[in-house]
Order: sequence, then structure tokens, then C-alpha cells
Amino acid sequence: MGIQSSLGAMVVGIALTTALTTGALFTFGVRRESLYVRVVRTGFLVAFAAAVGLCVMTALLGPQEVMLGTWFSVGTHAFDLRLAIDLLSASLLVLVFGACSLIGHFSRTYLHGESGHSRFYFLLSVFAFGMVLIVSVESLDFVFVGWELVGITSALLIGFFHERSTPIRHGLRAFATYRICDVGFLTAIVLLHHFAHDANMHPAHNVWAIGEGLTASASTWVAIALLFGAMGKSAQFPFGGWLTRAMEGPTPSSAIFYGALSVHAGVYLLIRAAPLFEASPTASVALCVVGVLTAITATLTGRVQSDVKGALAYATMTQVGLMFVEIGLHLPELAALHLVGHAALRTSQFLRAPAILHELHRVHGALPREFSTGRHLERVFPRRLAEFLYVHAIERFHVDQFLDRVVVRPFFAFAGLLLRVEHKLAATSERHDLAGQQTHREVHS
Amino acid sequence: MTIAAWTVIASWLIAGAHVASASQREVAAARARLWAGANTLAVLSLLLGADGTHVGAGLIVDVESLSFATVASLTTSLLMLATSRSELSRESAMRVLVWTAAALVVFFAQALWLLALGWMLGCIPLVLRRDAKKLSGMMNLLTVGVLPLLAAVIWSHMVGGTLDVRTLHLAGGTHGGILVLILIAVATRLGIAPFHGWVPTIAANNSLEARFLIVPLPAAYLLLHASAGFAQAFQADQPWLEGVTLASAIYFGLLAYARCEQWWSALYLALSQSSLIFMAICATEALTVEGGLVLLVSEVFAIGGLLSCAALVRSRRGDVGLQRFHGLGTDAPVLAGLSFVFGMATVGLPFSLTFVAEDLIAQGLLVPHPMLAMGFVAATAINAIGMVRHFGRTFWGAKSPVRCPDVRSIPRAALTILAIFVVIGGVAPQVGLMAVTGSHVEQVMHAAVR
Repeated sequence: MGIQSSLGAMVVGIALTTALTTGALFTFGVRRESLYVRVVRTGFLVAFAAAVGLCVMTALLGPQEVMLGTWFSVGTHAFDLRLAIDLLSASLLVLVFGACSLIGHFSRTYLHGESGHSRFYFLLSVFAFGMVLIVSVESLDFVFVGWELVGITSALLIGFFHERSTPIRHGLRAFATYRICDVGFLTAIVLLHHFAHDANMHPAHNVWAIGEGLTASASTWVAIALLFGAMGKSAQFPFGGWLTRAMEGPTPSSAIFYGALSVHAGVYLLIRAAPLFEASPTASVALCVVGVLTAITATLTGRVQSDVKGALAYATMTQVGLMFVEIGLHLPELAALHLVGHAALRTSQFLRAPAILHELHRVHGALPREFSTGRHLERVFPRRLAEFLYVHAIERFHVDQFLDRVVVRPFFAFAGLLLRVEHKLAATSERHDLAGQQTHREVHS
Repeated sequence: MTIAAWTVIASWLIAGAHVASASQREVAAARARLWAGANTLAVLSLLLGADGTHVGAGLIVDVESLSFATVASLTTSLLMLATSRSELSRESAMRVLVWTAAALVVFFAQALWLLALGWMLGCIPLVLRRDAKKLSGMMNLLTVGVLPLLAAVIWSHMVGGTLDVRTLHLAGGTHGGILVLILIAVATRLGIAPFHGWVPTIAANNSLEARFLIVPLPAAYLLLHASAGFAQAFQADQPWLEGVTLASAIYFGLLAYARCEQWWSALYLALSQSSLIFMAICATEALTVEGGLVLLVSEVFAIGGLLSCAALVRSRRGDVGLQRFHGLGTDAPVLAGLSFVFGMATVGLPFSLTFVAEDLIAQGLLVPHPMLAMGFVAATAINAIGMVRHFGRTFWGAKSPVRCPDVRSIPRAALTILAIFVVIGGVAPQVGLMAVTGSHVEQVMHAAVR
């Protein structure tokens, strides 16, 4: 095994070990804060060093595939854990462990004394493992495993303060959005297997190439399905409503999920699938439209936010929208650079958000005069148009209300209708009828 | 070996009689748990000592039938331990023990008529109830779930085919009708829509029996053998079978949203997942059948655990409505943790056995039936959202003023063992997959190819 293979195995192994260790501590009821901090910090720092080494070696020696083993196999179908180490994945591994180490260190004091301290560290380490899978494995099947782990930990951390109903509602909404968009991701995997008989992202497998099984129309469908999958995780229009709601979670989780890593998972996936978009003008246009719409609505909405985390969330959506546009314009390298830079900047902003007023006062005190705080729209647009945009931005352009009216309410109404059908079909009891009436009331309220 | 198998079956029946004769509820519960544990050990020892196929005394005993019997016995023992004392009445314990004996008859039966007898035996204790109001649902189970199978046996006998369960073979032209009868019986026992009319009746009153009846082992076993024996007729019916079962999965998944109580929501999610097992086996692709079998084993443990947790909540707090958050996790963190593990294992969180099964099914479906694969993906997504909603509304939220005691030590241990099976099976699934691959699955595959 070469040095790259060893380092790759080491990175995955450490992430898994850290998750398993914190999971075991959590399951057995150990709640000593310092123990969790020590395990997570040590694990992430060692993994960070290994990731840096891997990045350097990859820059020197070039990309490499690393076979770590087979999770399970039946007949000709095997679920191989094979890493695709290239400069993109190696640098993102550095980013993952750099951000996770930083958040682990920051949370030691930020969450000190919180009842969910140990839960946070457990979820953080599971999340890190999920991210490692997303950025380093070469099969989309295994990427989906990481994708799911990131989704569930994200929802659980949004509902971190579970004694209040609002964070839980928001966590459930985020999870529902993820799962709906995951249908797109899974559909893309299904289509890839169907047409190309493979779902391997590594360039050597050439799975995205037209003519290797994928026809031009098939590649368009695969690309659009992938785009749909990425839109949920990256909070793109019209599925971005969950991102501001996700700010109910503790600040360190907002920083790592919605500033640094999770929100960029969709971008990473699309960068990997860039050849597919290059071959499909329709999908590229769709990608650009989604990105532009997100960037415009998010930047306008961000300007009317009264809390700093909300404003940062919309700023994140804006930048991620621009990354989508960059990929749609067939500039994946630019999008990758944008991703890394944006992740670093936004993490720092999120972590400084709790002390923002203090810092602002300090800056104000140091400056000789007041500085401008916005009013950019008035400079560009006529006053009436600016006011119109601001008014609709306060309502987030009615996207959530529209989705509620067009998707959520009909869904529950249909479920209620099925329940009434069920009454007719099944042998009903008194209790059963009562429940049906309650549901009916709930749906119509 | 066959005599030993009969002895074990008799032992389960004697256990039922012994429990029924108990003078007090506590004594009945203790006897039921002891008998279940001892019988499980007996079945396990048979499995460990299994060598080749033994035929005689009307039974066929091999690794495959013993594996099914072990899973059924283990499930009975663990779920009985996981049941609160208030639920484990003399009658319900007796019914569950007789159900297990009947399930073992189904797994060991060499002839189709004996299998049908075991099938009927599993339903009869449920029908013999004092509560006349519930009789209609029970009769539904008996008429739609049993009579078609008996009719199929009689018809098969009349046309003079081979009635050996492992090598079902009939004269040409009769396969279709007989298969339809068998499928109706199987669909009724699995609770596939629209044959699930009996489920609400049982589930409304006694959640213990519901847990056992929804565990789909005997029905899946019969389905597997029918799919092998009637391969040609099965393939002719395949498209509508797959469509109906997928629609059933989505139907129950949506009902889980519509229902307000956590018990009913969990029940419908379990039924939805059972429909997916049926769909996977009906697809008769190598990977889907193996995925269906793995899903079967996974769901037996996961659904059993999930419904046990839901029943524990129900026994403590009555019907918990899902319109609001109840915050039971603060008082009962262990119950919340176990519910989360079973819930996520039921809907296929990564590193659970269900995830492995669902991957195999999706992989098996995607080349020959891509539209079905997408429907399958949609059904699993609906169930996953429903499960997280179900969990969140029950266990999260402000602490309830009414206290909810956490799960006691014995049920906790039983549920933990179930959870370990589910998780270890998901992390290292290869051992289980090898066992599945070497068994009847290959016969099904070959039959399908023929």
C-alpha cells in the first residue's frame, strides 16, 4: 500500500473511529465533557494532519484510487469502499477536518454546561464521517451513505434544543426537504446504473461520458436529477426555506453545517458531475436559472433580516447560488475555489456572530465617523422598485407559502382522503373513527 | 431431526396450554417468558446441529427452515420480554405461543396441506375471542387469509400435482388460479392493501398480538416457495403484483401521516415496509429476492422493536396524539433512544440492515424496472419523513407534566438485544447475506430464469 493509500485509509479510519468512540460513550451514558472534547479534538487533529499530508502527496504524485474493502457483496453486485483521491477531494478533506477541529475547539467553551454537550460532539463526529464519505469515495452509492448521515445529523442538530417546539419543527422541515430532494439523487443513481451500468464518479471510469452508455437525453435526465438532489442540501430556490430556520440550532453547528460544509455538499456533487452538465445544455441552463434565482432572492431577503444569523444564512445561499451558476457556465474549477474560500469566510463569520454587537461597538469606537450600513438597492434601483422588492423580500418572496399551498397542504389533504378511504375498506372501530375526524380537522386547520 | 422438530412444535403448544391454565396474570407472564426462552434455545440448538436435509413425519428440516424457525422463536422470546406486564395477559401470551407453534409448522411443513394447517392454526386463537364486536375483523382474517389457501390446496390435490412445498408442481393451465388464491392468502397475512381489513381490529385493542401478526415471517416464507413453484404463472402476474404492492406501500406510508396517534402511525409505517418485502420478492430478480429476504429479517427485528417501543409508550400514556410535541424523551431517554434506532432501522438509515436490503432491492430493480425503482425510492422517502415526524412529535418538545416512566430493565435488555441485531447486521451484513445466498433464493432465481 502506497503512502497515499495509507493516508487515505487513515483519514477514513480516524473519522469512523471518532464517531464510534463518541457513539459508544454516548450510548453508555458517559457525560463527562472533557472526555468528548479530548476524543474529538485528538481525532480531528490527527485526521487533519493526515489530510494535509494526503493533499501534499496528491499534488506531488497525482490522483489515485484506494480500495479499502467491500462493505457487502451479492453475486456481481458489490458495495466497495473505494476512495478517489485527487486534488479536489484531498483539499476538501483538509477543509472538513480543519473546520471540524475548529468547531470542536470552539464548542468546548460555547456549549459548556449545556445538557446536550455530549450529544453535540457525538453528532459532530458522525457528521464529519459523513462528510468524509461524501468528498472522498468514488461511487455515488457510497456518497449517498454519507449524504444521509449528513442529513440526519443536520436535522438532529437543528432540533438540538428539543425542549422548544420551534427548533424541532424546523429540524423536521429540514429533514423533509432533504428526503424529498434525495429522491432526485437516488433517481440519478438509478438512471446512471440503468444507462451507464456504473455510478462511479472517478474520471478514470468515464461514467459521465456520452456514448459510453449514456445517451444525450439520458445525460440530461441524470444531470437534472442530480441538480434536484443538490438543491435540497444546498438550500437552493425554491427549497431554501429550511436554511434560515436551521439557525435555531447552536451557533457552532450553524457554522459547520450551513457556513462551511453541509451546504456545500451539493456544490461538490455538481462539480464532480460537471462533465455531465457540459454535455447537456438544457441541464446547464436549468442549473444557471436555479443559481441566479437563488442568488437574487437570497441577497434581497438577506438585506431585510433583523438578526445576524439569518442575514448570514441568506448570504450563504447567495454565494452557493453563484457557485451553481459557475458550474452551469462550465467553470467547475472556479466553483471549487469559490467553495473553499466561502466556507472559510462563512465559518469565521458564524463563529463571530454571537459577539457581533460587541465587535461592532469596538469598531465604531475606533472609527472617526459613522460608516454606511447598506442602502445599496436605493442606489441601483428607483425608489419605488426598491420598496417593492424590500416588501416582498420581507415575505421571502412568498416561496414558502407557495410551497405550502401547492405541495404540503394537498399532500396532507390527500393523506386525509386516503384515511377516509381506509375507513371504508378496513373494519373500523370507534377509536379509529375518532382519529380520522381529528386528522380531518388537523388537515383543514 | 424431524422428531425433534415435532417436539419443539409440541413444546410451543404445551407452553400455550400451560400459560392458559395459570391462575394469575403474573404467573402466566412468567411462564410464557420461561417457555419462550427454553423453546428458543431448543430451536437454536437444532440450527447449530443442522446437517443436510432431513425429511420424514411430514416435515422437512434443513438450514433454511431452521433459520426461519429460529428468527420466529427469537422474535417471540425477545418481544415477550419487551412487553410490559400490563399487556402480557394470560390470553394474549397463550395466543402468541400458539402463533409461534403454528409458524414453526409452516416453516417445517413438507406438504402444502400441512403448511395450510399451520397457517390456519396461527389464525384460530385470534378468532376465539370473547369480544363479539371484534369478531368481524377476525372473521375477515380467517375467510380472506385462510380459506383461499385451503381452496388452493384442495384445487392442487384435485388436479393431481406435486404438493411438496419445496417442489410445487402442477398440471399446466391451473397455475394461475392457484397462485392467485395463494397470493390472496399471503397478502392478507402480510396486511397488503386492500387485504388488510383485519389489522385495525387487532391493533386497536391488543398491541401484543398485532406485533406478532405484522411480523411477516410465515407469509414471506410461503410467498418465496410459491414464487419458485409457480415461476411461470408468477412472472405472468408480476407487473400488476409489483404495482399493487408498491401502491400499498405508498398508501400505508401516507396513512402514517394522516393518523394522529403514534401507535397507529408506527403500525402503518410497519405495514408499508411489509409491502416493500412483498414487492421485492415478487420482482423475482436475483438481487431483489435476496434484498427482500434481508429486508424480511431486518424488518422482523426492527418492526418488532419499533412496535414494542410504541406499545410501551401506549401502555404508559395511552394514545399519544401526533398533533403536538409530547417531550417524552426527557422522562424516558432510553425508550427514546431505542425508538430512534428501531425507527431509523425500519426505514433504512445507513449502517442498518434495512439499508443493505433496500440497496439490494433498488439495484435489482433498476435495470429491468427503472420506474418501479423510482417508485420504491419515493416510498422509502415518504416512510423516512413519516418516521422522523413520528419520533419527533412523541419524544421531543417541552417536558410533559404527566410523567412517563422509562423502560424497565428486562424490556430494556430485550430491546437492546434486538437493536444490536439490527445495527450489527447493518454494519457487517456479509455473514447474513451469505446465509441467504446459499438457501432457497438460488432456487427462486433459477426458477425465474427458466
